Amino acid sequence: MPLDPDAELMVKVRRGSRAAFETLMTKYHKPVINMIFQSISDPVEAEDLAQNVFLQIWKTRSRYKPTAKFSTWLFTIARNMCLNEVRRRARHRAESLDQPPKETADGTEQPLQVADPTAMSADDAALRGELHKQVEAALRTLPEVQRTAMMLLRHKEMPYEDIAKVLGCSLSATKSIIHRARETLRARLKPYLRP
Amino acid sequence: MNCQQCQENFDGLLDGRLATPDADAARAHFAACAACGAAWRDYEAAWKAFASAPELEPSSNFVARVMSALDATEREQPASGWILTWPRFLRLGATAAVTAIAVSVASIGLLQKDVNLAMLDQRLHQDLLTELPVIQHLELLKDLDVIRHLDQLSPPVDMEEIEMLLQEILST
Repeated sequence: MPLDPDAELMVKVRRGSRAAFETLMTKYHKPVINMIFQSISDPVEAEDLAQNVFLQIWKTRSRYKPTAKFSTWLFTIARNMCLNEVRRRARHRAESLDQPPKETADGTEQPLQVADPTAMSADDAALRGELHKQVEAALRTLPEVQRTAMMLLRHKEMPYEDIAKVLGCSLSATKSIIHRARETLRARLKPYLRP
Repeated sequence: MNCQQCQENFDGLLDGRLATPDADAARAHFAACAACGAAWRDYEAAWKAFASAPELEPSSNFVARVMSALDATEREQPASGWILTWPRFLRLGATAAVTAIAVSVASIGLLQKDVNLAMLDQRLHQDLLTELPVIQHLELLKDLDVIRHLDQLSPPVDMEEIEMLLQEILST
């Protein structure tokens, strides 16, 4: 059976190909950063942690088996490192609360950089902006497992079976997790959705 | 299709996983049942709002930054002989751990030949437990390549030192 393109690249990475590693990273760094960002809410630290995820992938490349889908392996590592970071933060919460917010070089607070919204009327833009804020807030209130499932589901190539592997759950449990998460989103966003 | 069955199919419908007859039945139910129709519209709209919400845009130099970090990491830990950069006590610990594992494996083989080495085996296991924190810390032991290539390290590992360590372990 032929390998999928990612697995083929990863086989090259195992042999030490940096070009293949760079190709995989270019393809996956955005969903990985976004998945981490939804858990730790800090764009700078999300990138730092994502960097560690990819360095870990490189370091442990010899352990990759082509029978495993690369994306499943990657997101499992990303999720585990993210959970470790969340646990570490929970242990040091008191210290973190004393820290000032991250600032950029010019002393201003680091803004959330998002893709440019498409052209729309002022009313639509305001409504859309409010809705997106509510989406983000609703997502953050979800339990970690539901939030991760949602982020993986948004990544179009990830079928339920692979999400189940990343979460370490059965397929039926994963379906239930996704349904509960969507129900929560529906309840939270209902007031902001156009009839 | 009743209301409960219909609402159980929301995810399948949304993700395109529902067989065509079931999808058609669900849509027919929405047309006939106002409550399910409204619930479906909310469910679908909430998902679309989530799926279309803007994502965090990574820094444009993210990939280049990771590649630089990778270069830096590899410079710090060259592939060959990097074990020799460890402090002496850690190298000794690693050597003792590897030796303990190797001897333990060997003793299991001897025990299978009805040789009475139960005491030795027990002692080695105790040593292994003592060394466990060190072993867990050692990335290289995960693949056990170090055992296979112990004699190929450059400069070579001092086999006399290993023997002395083994004697120490056995005499305690």
